[in-house]
Amino acid sequence: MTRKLPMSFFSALLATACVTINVYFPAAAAEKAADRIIDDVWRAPAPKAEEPQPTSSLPSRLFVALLDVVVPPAQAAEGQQPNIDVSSPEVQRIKASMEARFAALKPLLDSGAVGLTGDGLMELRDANAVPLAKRNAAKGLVADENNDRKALYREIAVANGQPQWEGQIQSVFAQRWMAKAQSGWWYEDAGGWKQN
Amino acid sequence: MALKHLKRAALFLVLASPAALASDLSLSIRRVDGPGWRAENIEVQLLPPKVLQLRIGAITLTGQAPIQDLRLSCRELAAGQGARCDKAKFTAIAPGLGKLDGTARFEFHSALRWQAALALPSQGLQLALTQDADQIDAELHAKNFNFSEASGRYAAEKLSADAKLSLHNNGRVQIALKTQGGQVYAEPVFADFGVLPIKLDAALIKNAKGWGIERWVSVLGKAGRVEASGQLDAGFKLLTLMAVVQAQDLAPLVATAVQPFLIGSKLDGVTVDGRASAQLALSDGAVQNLDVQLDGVNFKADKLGLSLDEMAGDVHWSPMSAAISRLRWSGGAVKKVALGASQMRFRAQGKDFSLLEPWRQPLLEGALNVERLALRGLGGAQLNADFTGALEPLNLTALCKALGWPEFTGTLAGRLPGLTVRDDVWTIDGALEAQLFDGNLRVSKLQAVQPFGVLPRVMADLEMRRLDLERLTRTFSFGRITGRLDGEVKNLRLLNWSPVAFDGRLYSTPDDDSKHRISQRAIDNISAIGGGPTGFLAHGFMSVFEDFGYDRLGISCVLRDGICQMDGVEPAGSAEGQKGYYLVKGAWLPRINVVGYAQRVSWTNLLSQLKSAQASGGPKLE
Repeated sequence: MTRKLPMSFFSALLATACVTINVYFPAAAAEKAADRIIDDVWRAPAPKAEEPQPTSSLPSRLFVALLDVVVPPAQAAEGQQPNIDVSSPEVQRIKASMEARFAALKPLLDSGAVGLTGDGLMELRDANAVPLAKRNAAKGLVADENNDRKALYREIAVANGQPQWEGQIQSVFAQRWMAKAQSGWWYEDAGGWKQN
Repeated sequence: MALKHLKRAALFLVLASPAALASDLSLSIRRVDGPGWRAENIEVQLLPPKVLQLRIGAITLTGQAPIQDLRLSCRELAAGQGARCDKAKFTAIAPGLGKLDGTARFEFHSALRWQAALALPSQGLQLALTQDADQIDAELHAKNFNFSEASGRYAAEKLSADAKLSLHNNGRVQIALKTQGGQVYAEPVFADFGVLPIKLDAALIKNAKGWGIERWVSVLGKAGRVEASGQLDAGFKLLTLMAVVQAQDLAPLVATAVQPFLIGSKLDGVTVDGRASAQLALSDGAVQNLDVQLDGVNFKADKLGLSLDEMAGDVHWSPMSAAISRLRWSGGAVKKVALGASQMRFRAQGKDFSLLEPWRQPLLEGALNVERLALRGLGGAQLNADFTGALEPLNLTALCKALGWPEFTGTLAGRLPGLTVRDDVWTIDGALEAQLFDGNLRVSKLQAVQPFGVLPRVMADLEMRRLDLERLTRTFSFGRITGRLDGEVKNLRLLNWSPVAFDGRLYSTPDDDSKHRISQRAIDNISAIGGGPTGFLAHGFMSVFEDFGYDRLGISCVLRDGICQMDGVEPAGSAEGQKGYYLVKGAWLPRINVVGYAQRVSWTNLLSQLKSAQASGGPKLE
């Protein structure tokens, strides 16, 4: 009994001083990870020194900016910022499959037949830009790419031990695909389809 | 409504008796509504004796984009008993076709007897309408007709076809259609009439529920034939249907009518050829019964990695009390594993599948014996599986070859007493045992993760006991080692049948009292794997000895994300600040120890080192 008393005292204390540990989604690290994957998939040249900032203030960008204010840069420089790991074999394999598909997808993106949707996927937005006989092949490519992309977002979240991040990773990717879209490609934002 | 009828009557009056009118007449009607259509801003101008002009601002069929700015102008109007114009000019703007420009001809006797014809040479269209008493006939001829609609969901290219539609006042509609060539896309179906011409003959009748299908016969080139009858609702949605399909050549039928609906699924890209017939019964819009007879059907689904050859039999499906299905095939393949001839008796009913007798599928010189298999809730989130099976000894060499693994000799067999499926993870109870290299390999905790998803994975635990190293090293031409080997590979994860993660350990069998000898070449190879030099034993004093005694040997690798964290049988001293570990601990004299220092080795490098070790002839002493 004498031993039990302090234990229940502690549990009572714990119950009242409810501690919540928040694992914040490392948006900046996720952006970097997304860029690495996107550069590989789209085989973009080495990233430019300064990425043009989208004019719209996207929520996650805002969040990153806030973090930058709160976290002193010195701390970030000490390598304490969270990292997003994209080296898991599952992620690498999906990436390889997407890289292999890009050669077939690029003409469709260039012609505007396929565009980047606001949720980090692709869509056949102008079927008329594809010859009749190839329309279903284009649909198949887009469907396969979207299956891969959904799996990619899920596997990155899983590989980082945070399956609940899937949605956030998807929205980071959505912004990065658009930011890295080549000139002439179409993308979808709140206002509808726009050409880059 | 009364007013609209009045206006329509006025229009007919004008057309019916133009001779009676001596002076100019113009008439404007703002809007006329009919069942399923609407015309707006109608202007009729009659300039006697020979000029009639008609302009309609827009004609809209419900749910379609409007035909705009329709103009008909006749300068040679012949008035007599009725009205007649042999050369009228016609223009309009139609959705998907752009500006139409053609000629029209009409002859009007009464509202029950008139003819009209329209020719649009630039579009390759000819339309003729004839009203004779109780019936309207429409004949449409298309030659190299191109059409593309803004959404891209419907389109035609170089379509050549003849269609005839007859509407009788009693509600009977007869349809005859014959395609001559060209291509049509109606999402998601793409039909190339050059490859698969269609001839359709159908009769519908208006009834209380909507439209009854009295007759529907479509002949699809030489590939097949569909006959149907049934009932549509007023919106042309299927209520009931009895259809019989006869397919002499499944390949074009599946490619045209089935494949488009599989896009994005694991069956996308499926190819099927052979002959089949099917009977389909639909009621209340749901399938009640499906009977399929297959004959010489070859099935290949590349994304699933499954093929079955020369399938034959009867397959029945029904939501309840389905008849017994029988299916046999002469061979096939799962990935690169060839399957032998087999047959299956089963019941497919609702979302359930159950075997009615044990099924034996020969493969790799052995067989998979499935004694019991019942799956409930197929296609749903929760799949319930009742499974008992066994593996009759398979030839391991053939299996390894098929999976692209190093070729072990031996057999693999085991009892598989159960299967659980949860969250798309298929777990097989029991274990498989392989007899190889005079020892034992046990495969347990077999799991398939999302076997039909984007990333199918296989997980397992392996346990090796008392493998004869001499046979093993001989098989892999790795040099020569005698003794026994134990090992465990826990949490093995295979992606596309290649290992991507495991906690692996191989080590000399404890309390093994067999002779422990290791050849120079084997030492070289082990040294190379540990990142050390090779060939150093081939010179000098040590070259006298062909092999050496050893106490223990072993290696461990924890593979994560392409990096192998290496270790040996026990820690050795440090050199240049690096911690070492024994890969081979020598015994007697001359004593040879192989100490590894590499801690993190790339898995692909390790594999290529193993391969080159196998390929190299090794020191000449061998």
